[in-house]
Amino acid sequence: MIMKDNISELLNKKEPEGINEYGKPYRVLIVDDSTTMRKIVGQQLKSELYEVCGEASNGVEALQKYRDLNPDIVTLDINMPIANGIEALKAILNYNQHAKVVMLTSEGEKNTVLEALRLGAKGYIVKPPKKSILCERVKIALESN
Amino acid sequence: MDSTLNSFVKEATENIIEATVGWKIEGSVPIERSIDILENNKTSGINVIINFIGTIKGAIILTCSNNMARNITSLMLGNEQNLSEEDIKDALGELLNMIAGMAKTKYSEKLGNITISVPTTIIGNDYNLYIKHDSSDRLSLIEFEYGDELLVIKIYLEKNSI
Repeated sequence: MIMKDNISELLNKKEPEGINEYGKPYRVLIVDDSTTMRKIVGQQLKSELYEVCGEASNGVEALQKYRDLNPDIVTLDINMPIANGIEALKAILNYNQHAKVVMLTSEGEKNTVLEALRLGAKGYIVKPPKKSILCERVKIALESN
Repeated sequence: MDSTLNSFVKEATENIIEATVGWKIEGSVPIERSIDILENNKTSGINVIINFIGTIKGAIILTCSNNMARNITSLMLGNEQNLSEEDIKDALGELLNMIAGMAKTKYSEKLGNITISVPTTIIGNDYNLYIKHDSSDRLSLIEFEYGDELLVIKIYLEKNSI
């Protein structure tokens, strides 16, 4: 009986989404001018065993960190000082056309989101992020070509 | 007064606070107030201001006590207790940014586009918050009660845009 329960538990156990096929965590770069939002996104991703390999607070810093860290995926806020999310997206995709980027936006930026998707972003998340939606969109982006 | 904007701001505040802080709170009916309180406005605690411009022009101001601001920040960050003043300013700025973003989307869909600024946050005790205004400009207040504390959203509209 105990064995049956254990097998059932093993079968029902959900694999953490942040682990790749080689058993290593996916590495995420979080870009947002708000430290609060970076912490919220980081906490949600870490709970699924993603590794937050770096953070940036504006578009210029985002490109520098992308080059230095070569993350598997980037979560990128749109409305930021110095260089905004759209400028950062263009720069990152110019550096690596296969880069996987998910945009983070307040609801008021719908046209900008459409522009980001047209440019090559793999998805978007509306603030405040819900963990289930954030992880789902990140996973879809990671699995995209 | 533009009651449509007021209702969008009230609804956005209720939704965003529930989603980020976990408080189910209901705002009061928007109360119209004399614009003079933008002049004689000795205040304490935290004030966050986001300006907007477009088919209407004005500002949304979030006001609450330092204690409430600390509680909100802690809950936004998953019960974090070790908080700096910078954490609190950033969290409350982001909170109003999300509220204004949601209200802006709803307003823009129905009544024309508006653009919002980045938040300005002031924290301290016994200071005057002065906003340059005309005597015929309009001001509304929405009060949100949680426990024995109050979070107030002020909606300021310039007369030419009403």
